[in-house]
Amino acid sequence: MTKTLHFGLFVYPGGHHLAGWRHPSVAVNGILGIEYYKRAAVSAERGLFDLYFVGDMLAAREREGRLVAEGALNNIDSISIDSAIATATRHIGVVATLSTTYNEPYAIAERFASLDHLSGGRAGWNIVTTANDDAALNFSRKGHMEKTLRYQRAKEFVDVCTKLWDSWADDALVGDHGSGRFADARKIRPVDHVGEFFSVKNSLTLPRPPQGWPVLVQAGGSPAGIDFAASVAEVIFTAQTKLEEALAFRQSVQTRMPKYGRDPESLRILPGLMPIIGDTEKSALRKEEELNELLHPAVGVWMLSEQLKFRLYDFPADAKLPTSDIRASGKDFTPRVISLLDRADAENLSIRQCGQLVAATRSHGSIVGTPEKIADHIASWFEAGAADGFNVMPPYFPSELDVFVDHVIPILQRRGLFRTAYEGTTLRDHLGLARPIRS
Amino acid sequence: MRLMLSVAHHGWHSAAWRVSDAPLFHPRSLVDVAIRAEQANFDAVIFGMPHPRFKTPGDGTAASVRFDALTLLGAAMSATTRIGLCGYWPLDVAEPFHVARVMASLDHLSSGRAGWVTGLAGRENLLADYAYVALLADAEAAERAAEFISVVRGLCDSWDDEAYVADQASGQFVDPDRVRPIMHNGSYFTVRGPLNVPRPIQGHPVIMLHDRGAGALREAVLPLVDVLLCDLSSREEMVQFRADLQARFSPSKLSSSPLIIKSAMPILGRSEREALRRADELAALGSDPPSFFVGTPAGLAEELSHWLESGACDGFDLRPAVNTCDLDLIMEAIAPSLRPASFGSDRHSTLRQDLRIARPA
Repeated sequence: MTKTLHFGLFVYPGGHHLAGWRHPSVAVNGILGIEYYKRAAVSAERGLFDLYFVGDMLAAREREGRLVAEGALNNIDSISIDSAIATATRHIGVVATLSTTYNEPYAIAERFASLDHLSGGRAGWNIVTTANDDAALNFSRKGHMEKTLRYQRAKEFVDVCTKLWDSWADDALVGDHGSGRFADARKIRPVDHVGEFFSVKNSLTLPRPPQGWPVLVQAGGSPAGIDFAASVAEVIFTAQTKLEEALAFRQSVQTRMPKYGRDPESLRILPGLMPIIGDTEKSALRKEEELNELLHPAVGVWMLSEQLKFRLYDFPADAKLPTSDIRASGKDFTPRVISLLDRADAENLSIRQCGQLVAATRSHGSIVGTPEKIADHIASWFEAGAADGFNVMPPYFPSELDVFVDHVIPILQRRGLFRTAYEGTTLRDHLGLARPIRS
Repeated sequence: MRLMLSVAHHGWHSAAWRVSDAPLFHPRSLVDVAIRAEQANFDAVIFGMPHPRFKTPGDGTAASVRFDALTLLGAAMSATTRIGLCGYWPLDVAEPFHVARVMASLDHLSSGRAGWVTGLAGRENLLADYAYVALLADAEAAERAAEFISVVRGLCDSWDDEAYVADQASGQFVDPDRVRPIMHNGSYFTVRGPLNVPRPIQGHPVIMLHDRGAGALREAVLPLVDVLLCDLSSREEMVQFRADLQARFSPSKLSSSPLIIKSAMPILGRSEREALRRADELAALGSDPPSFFVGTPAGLAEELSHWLESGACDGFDLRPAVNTCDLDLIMEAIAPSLRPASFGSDRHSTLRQDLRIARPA
């Protein structure tokens, strides 16, 4: 099979630019209704995208104890959206996000098996451990589970799920009308799992999913996250904005994979990418400017304070970002934050400017320009081995998604980098990933 | 007459698959049943209700197959436009925050069509798969259930209706003054809130109890549910039960009595003889609980009206014994008198409006 680009569509109410929902083209009254999500899925399927991606949050976003007033919410349940999209589409994969910290494996295995069956083999699970400390307060927990422990739980959680998906042999269904044997019980085995976090005895309530397992997706760049990714992830949604960093990230995951008995080739890395596209370079820049003008300054300062774990509300917005104080706070920073601090120093950026940076793209990669420029960027990362494709994050929906589908995708197709038709039927087919053999 | 339809793979008789020409395993058929129910003007479909013959996962029986209700709700949502969408999500395997968030999500996505069927899956069904589930005695389990439901309702109310602003001009998306944490600290749950989804279109999802006759549970949650899905066998028992219940919710009280919906699996035929033959054939293949009614579509319509007029219930949760056969006949039964073609075909109403249940203030 020839190597091809892979695209995800990351759907978001309004758009991924934090001011995207304010854009005059967005019909804001509809952004919680299913037609909004269907509209995006239909475009993505027209663009032959591999997958449709929905995130998940388990607590309201607050700023000093009050709900953040100015940013669009992204909290509609991902399984509800994806199950609906599965019925409304025929080819595109549907990836839903569910937390291993605040769920139980039996229910989640059943949920994804159902989604895989209902979609004819198009389900993917974005496995998260939930980084938001506030979630614990909504789930009767004393405190948020510490990161190392969260990943230990996540590993066992996924392990139980794969055992459950494997509990039915692929040929367990019999359907003998005469004898009344629906399935062959000898080909269904209870999982009998007893571990540190979970005890699960029975088999699953459903036949083995069409894909064997849903595609396992993961996001997260911390050392614990990378190790977890190496052990289970088939697709990684990343946030690298520099090519060298992306290459280093790929290497760090791939070198760990053999340790877990995995082939480093069975991995697809999709960085998030917000394209802002114009007929000319100038019109694209104008579009970006227009969006940034719509950005409420308070949103930027809030996002920055959250990411840096440092209160910036009392500083004047035009003051230089106090990088040395932030570094001295001794917090455990993600690589994303460290590169932001470096950039703030190098370019002498103010709090307002840094806030705009993180809020505009929510810290993911962004590219502004003509369709050719966007295609060049995508091609260069792909050809350098820094990405297998991108999780596309349109600044606002649906018009900017349509521009990508109608103007960027055809360029990549002409260059032979992207499919001109869906070739298989399952999400694994689209991604070129093997169906797991039942262990 | 309120009319709901419970959806099961192949149908509700455990031998349905043996007399059906449908593919052996056909997930999409569950969504197709919802589409048909909408065409027949049912008020709601219900997914994920436990099969009476379900024993152990993976025992090889057709009744051991179970789909996750939430995925079916989503799948049916985008294939329909106005029918109510209810799902069984027993609260002994759930968290109130998850239930509130998913139900609020479904309600927004579907323009006010979401319903939550609550209940207890029961210790014996859960212990093997959810070792964390505490072994609660019945009375405690009932108390926990009541607290669970009130937390779900509280989370829905953590947003005022006016809190969702989405004003593009000013840049205000929500009004933080109209959203507040619930700070729930009870015997079983500690939930801060607020919910991270705006208040549902219906205020709260329609909340129904799958009432399997456990008195302690029913008593504990009665003031908190909108509908009781009951399976008492005789009409006389139901008349008595409903009368007792309504007497307790006298007009002076603030809340009204929950609707009583009778779950019923009829076995139908074009003639009495065909219906009897089918009932015999099914009985020979699987010894299910006795069916609610055996006869023709016209006879079923009469029977349903009779139950309603005698005050036994407010409506039915009909359960096709064999989807490929009984679904058509159920539709024939209700079409002429109970659901004529003119019935609300251009409605844009919520499930609460269709069931005539008040929207919670």
